[in-house]
Amino acid sequence: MDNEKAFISDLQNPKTATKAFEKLVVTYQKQLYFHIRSILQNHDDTDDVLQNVFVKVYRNIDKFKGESKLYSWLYRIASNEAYTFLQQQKNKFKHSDEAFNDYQLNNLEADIYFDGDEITLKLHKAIQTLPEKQKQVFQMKYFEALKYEEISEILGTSVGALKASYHLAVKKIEECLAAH
Amino acid sequence: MKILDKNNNPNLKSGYNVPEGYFDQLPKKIMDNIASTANDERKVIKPDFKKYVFAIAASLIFLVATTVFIFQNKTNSDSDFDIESYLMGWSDSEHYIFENFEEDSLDTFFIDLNIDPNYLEDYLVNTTYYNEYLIDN
Repeated sequence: MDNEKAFISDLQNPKTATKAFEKLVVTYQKQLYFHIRSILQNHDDTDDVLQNVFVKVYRNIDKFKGESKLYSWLYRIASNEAYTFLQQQKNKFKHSDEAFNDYQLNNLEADIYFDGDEITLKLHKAIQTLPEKQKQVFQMKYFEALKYEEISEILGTSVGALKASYHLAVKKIEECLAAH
Repeated sequence: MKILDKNNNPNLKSGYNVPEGYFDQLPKKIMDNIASTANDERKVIKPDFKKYVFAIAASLIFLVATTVFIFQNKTNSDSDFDIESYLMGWSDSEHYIFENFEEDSLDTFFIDLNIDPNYLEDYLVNTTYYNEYLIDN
């Protein structure tokens, strides 16, 4: 976003906050939606969490000091909210992580807002087998098309470590897809 | 062949879709959500304050009742009745309220509990409304 400082100033000024916040929602809603969706899979859950994210951003915008970029702050809030929601779902589910992954995949397949073909579904199944960090990095890089530098700022992980995670993730997924 | 290579599989996407017009309607939904949660937060403050008002009202009633009781039984001042022992059965907050009424002025009492007397008055005038609201919701 051009002139981010001025935009943040507008967000934190009570006189201009509402209009600036509407602009923020329009600008980032798609990116944050697909980021949360890649964690939760299901559209309805994503919709709920995304709305909560924006409400939290609105309430806490005064606490944003501009030490990081605005998009990375937004992504961090979105990640935290999505993983908290996911953990609550897991706690309710009361079965193994594997069973929960299967449950999520079934939900994805049944979701009317999922239009993937057979190979796409296989890809999602392969992603579910990855450790959490590799899963996260792979989805941000492959589906969300974020640059390593951007992922690094969001996750607080070095670019080198991210490259290693992505490389391992790709290798495992290729093996998994080739085997099925 | 690398399956994940976008040159080999250009259509390999997430498959995530959204309802038609979802992103057109979302900003309004979020702004409405913010407005409604702001209202909820304002509603939450009043019931918290309510605790103090009920504590004060209950203490005032008890204070009056105790005073009347003591005066009515003044002729029995040699009896074993000990008001302090009786008060031992009270909660700490009731002791606090009682002691402050005995020792300090009403203004001090409001300052100690950080209550604005004007707000208390306003609250008491509107208590019926809030009670109805709480019952309905």
